[in-house]
Amino acid sequence: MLASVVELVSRAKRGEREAEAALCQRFAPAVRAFARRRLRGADAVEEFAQDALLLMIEALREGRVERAERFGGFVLGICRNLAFDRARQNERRARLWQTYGEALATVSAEAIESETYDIAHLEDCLSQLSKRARDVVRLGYVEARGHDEVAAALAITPQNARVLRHRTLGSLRECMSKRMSWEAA
Amino acid sequence: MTDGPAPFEALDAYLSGEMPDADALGFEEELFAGAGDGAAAEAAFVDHVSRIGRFLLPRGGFDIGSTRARIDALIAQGLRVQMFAPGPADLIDGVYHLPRIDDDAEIVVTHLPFDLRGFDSANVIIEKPDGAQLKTFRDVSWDPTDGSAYAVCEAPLARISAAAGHIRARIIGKRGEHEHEVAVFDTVTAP
Repeated sequence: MLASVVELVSRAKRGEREAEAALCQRFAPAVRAFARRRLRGADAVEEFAQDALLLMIEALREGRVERAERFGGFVLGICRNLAFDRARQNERRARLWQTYGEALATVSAEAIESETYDIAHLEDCLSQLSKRARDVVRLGYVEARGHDEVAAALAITPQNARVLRHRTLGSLRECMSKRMSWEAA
Repeated sequence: MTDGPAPFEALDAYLSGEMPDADALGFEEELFAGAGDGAAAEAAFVDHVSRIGRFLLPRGGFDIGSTRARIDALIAQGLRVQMFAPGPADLIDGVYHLPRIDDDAEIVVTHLPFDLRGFDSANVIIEKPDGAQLKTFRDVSWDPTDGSAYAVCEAPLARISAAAGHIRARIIGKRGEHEHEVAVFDTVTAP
């Protein structure tokens, strides 16, 4: 049974690190989506996401989350404020990393190395896509390039690029919802 | 944030900036409200692909068929690459017997010594010996210097594929509308 966000926030406020990690995992995709809309480049997106989640953990530990049932809005507020205040980011980021960095262990780039089955599964599914579809995944979602830039790189119109993105994501999701092809043997 | 094409398209419009800012404000409210209870399925999927893709890209995970120069670059960046180059000494009763994958291997490369130069594209169909199809590697690239292909694979996936036992790879070259079976390649990898 998936713990509710209210329960996780309550546990995190009591100092449970597992609840903090669970909240990071749940909100990381939304925070990255927020960043991808505004930033170009995978590193910039990742840096923004880390900063937002660090601030989220900081708020929890400092008891500044008053309404657990509105925690999603609270995190969104963090993202919006952060988007308006990037200038002081680097200095503050270093300090936050040092103080709270261990809380992000489960969502860090390094943590991916332990996800061996998921890595194998995505690699297996990518190999079954056309080269053009693989290029869409690489350019749009791995390198986080702008959609017009992706369309230009593939020498297709933005409209066709949109259709290709939707089809590719649909194909990938269908493939990854099944067992790996090799496991059928 | 439910299953189905519409939420995916909405997420895509949001990510691409095609969604007007006024609509994006409401979309963000819904996205973050759902995220806490694990309901942002589409955003989670895109995030999953992006994160693992970032891991795979510099390790050759997007190279479906690679070149010798690219393999040398992977080795030069410090990855533990185990290379299989099946030859006559490995051939027993028409099947190439490949050695066990090393415990510390990170990347496994199998050299397919066929000449694909002159084709527009190539697919590799993987079957069991009884013809049951397992998968198709689409749009496989090859080394322009000799036309051979280097199949690059993360070691965990290579071990899973090795567990399939005896498999048959049919290399299909395409030129215009015509397909040509370039080679059939039977392998077994030691468990």
